[in-house]
Amino acid sequence: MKVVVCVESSALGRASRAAVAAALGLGPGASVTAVSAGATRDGQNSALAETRRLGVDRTVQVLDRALADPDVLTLGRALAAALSRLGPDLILTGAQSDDEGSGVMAAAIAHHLDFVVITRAEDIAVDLEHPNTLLLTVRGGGSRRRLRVRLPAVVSIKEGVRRAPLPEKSGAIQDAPQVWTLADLGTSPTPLPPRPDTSGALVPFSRKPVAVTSAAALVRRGFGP
Amino acid sequence: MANILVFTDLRSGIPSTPSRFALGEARRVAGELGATVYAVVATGDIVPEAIDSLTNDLGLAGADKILFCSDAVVEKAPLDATHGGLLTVLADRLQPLLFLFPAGGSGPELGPPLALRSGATYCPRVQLEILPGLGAADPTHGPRLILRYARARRDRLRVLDLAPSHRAQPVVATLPAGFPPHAPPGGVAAEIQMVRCPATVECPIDEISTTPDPTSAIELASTVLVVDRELAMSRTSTTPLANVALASVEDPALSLACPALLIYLGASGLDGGAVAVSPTTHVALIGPAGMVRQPPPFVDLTWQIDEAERTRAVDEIVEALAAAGLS
Repeated sequence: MKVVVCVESSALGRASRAAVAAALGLGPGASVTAVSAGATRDGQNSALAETRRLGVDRTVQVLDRALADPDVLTLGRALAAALSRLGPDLILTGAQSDDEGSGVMAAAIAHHLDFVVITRAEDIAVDLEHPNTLLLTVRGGGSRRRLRVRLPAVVSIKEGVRRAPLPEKSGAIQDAPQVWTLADLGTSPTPLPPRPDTSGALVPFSRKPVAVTSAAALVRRGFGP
Repeated sequence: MANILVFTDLRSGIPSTPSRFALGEARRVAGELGATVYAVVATGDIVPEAIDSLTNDLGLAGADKILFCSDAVVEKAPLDATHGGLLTVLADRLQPLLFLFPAGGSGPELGPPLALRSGATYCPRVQLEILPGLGAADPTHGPRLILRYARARRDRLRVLDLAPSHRAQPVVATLPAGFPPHAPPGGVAAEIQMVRCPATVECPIDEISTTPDPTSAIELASTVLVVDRELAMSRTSTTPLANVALASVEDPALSLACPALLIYLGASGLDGGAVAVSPTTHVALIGPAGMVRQPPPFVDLTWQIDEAERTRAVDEIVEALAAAGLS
């Protein structure tokens, strides 16, 4: 089974780390590739470098100036182009990044590839009784559901779910990612600027803590303006 | 005329409190924008009496029209593979300005794929606000719809300013948990429309088993108290439709919560990023000074108590919420 984990171009987020662990936990029959897309060449502190230390088999970076400050559609398109070339059976992402946290990336990749998407899975495993299928658990709507998913699929993984220790990886560890540009992938290298009209402008947000001395005051302020 | 669609989350056949809050929010902004509020109900087999009851409930909560889709496909887990076709058809047909999902889990699953298919912006955990128009800068002179939503790294907010002339692109949004407005006395005559679920290709997902989630109250609660595991285990769990939930720091259901009031009660080992917040969420930290080594971001309320008073503080908070009509 070819598994690709999509990770940040910056430091590896908590949910992405969970996705890498989930991929590596699928067992020896799964080859795991990590992919990121960005405008800065991979460094020792990057998410891809971290995935190599965790034991993925291969890393790929989509590197292009057009990806300096991409919106989710642009990033999803760049990753989908790389994924098309890699031909995975299963694509994993973190359920949400540590910074923006909108949880859209899995859906964006699935949208571009026309794959089925399941978000915020709590655990995944290969279904040994059915070929090319995955077993996973999701929570929501008042129920905990065990699902069987026929691949290919995009699955996002929730952070904080306890997993078995990662298996030992044998063989040489790749020391640098394979680099593809958008032109290499046949995708437009035209820079796409951020779109505050559609994603919203960023404004500072801070609050000064207020001390209360009773539960009533806490509730009054907590549900006040 | 603008349309606002609200996905209705049914729990044991009853609209969840966050769903009624979402309809109330839709009603509030629809009144300013001159929009029609549609409640979307996707369910399996439903008897006429249940339709009558839901129509009354949802009308009282703020719906002008109720779109019922009764089909075995949407009786399954709320996944894009099961519900996405229906929601996309409704979005295409009604061209809503807003498609809202209540707190409770289905929005983060269904919202992003719907937004991508509909060419919409996706805004998680929004605060909706109406501001006066831009005057000469906007020839329509209509009011502005402002959406604020918090990023996971809560140092900044995103703000989407939708003046009438900028509303070509629809918005799919999830809302935090909250309280529905007091319903007017008597019944409300909401209009019912039955809609067909679109024919779908074979669904590649099978449900092997479904079990009730004993922690589901957490995702619906408008007040969440995060406490140590021992304290959480020692308390009776709340009922599924209650508005107050006690959660352990290790509880995976915490990641589905988006409460109006999030209280960390001396919880050691807590992860401040584990619970999503909206711009309107108040975050309280209770305990002795220095009790929590790594406080969560955006604490805006503190209450210093002794270690021994923790259990009593839970009771006092629950009583205070009840006294304020918030439980």
